[in-house]
Amino acid sequence: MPVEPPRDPDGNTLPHDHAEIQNEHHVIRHITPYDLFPDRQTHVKRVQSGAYSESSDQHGGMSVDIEEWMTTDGLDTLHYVHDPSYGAKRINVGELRAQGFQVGWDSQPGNPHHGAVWGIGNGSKRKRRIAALAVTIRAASGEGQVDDPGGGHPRREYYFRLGPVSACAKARVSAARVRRRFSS
Amino acid sequence: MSIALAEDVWQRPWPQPQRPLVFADAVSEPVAVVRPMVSPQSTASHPLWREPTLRRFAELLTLGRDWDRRGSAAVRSDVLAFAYSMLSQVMAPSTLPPSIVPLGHGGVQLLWTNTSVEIEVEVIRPNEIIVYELDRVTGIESEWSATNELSGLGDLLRSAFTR
Repeated sequence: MPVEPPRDPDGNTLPHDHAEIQNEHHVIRHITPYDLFPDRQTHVKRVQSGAYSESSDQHGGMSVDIEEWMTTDGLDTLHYVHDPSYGAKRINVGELRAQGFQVGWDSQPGNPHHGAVWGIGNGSKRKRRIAALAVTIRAASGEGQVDDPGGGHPRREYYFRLGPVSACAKARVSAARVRRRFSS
Repeated sequence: MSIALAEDVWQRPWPQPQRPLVFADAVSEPVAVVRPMVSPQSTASHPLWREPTLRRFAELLTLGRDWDRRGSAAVRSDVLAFAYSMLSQVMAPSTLPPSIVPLGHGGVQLLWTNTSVEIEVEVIRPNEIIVYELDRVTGIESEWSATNELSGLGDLLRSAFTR
């Protein structure tokens, strides 16, 4: 059993670096479909940096699972990712600490392998630092896929499906058909 | 005789018949009338960003506490109201709508991207926002807090994300 983390008088876990979570270890961050946004150039959905925000709890950090502790107890890396539409990212603990974040143990009912990353705060800069360290283990539903390119507009969707050249060719054929119909 | 002559002097001559087009030929002097400014100028249609943004806000409002099983707070309605009011101030009618994701503390993050710049705006609570800008060409990033002064953000959005 790991050493108990420091707590405030109300029992909330205080920000700390847990000695038994080593720098070679990894933490798992769950990703929801709400964290995705479509890139305007590629139309591919990717994870927005807001996915790496701290929770609203007292002294709340960013919620993670401690991978090596789960493996030691015989659990799969994605054991706590219950929702099939959710994805997961793996982040190295040493890299997080090198960026000035604290990684500690924050056991929860039903998840003794739950940890937290503290020091993210508000703003996007630090969230983006974490996003740059994260490696995809499982993509969330829609992640890495092309978003509805036409935004529901059938003509634009058709254009994106065929590509510009095919769409132009198709338009020429349609125009010829119209001309034939009116000339006959 | 002299009396008759005197009467002729005072009597006005009978008007000559006028050409029938005389009134049609008349041109009035142009008169400039200043249009009263009772409200700011507006466009005839709704801003392009409004409908997708409100649809996303409605979606986010349905998220309750711990919606992501990561301990996140429910998205706050006052944050969304403030975000909408802020967008109304900084967006031109044809500015592209932002991507919006909920944050752990009940706020939201708004994002605009193109090939040259990325802008992320974190709305923590009403009147408390943090703007992040990444110049994708030079790699230079900057971040600043904004409370009431939104002109910098408005200039950025109108220059980079308005059609």
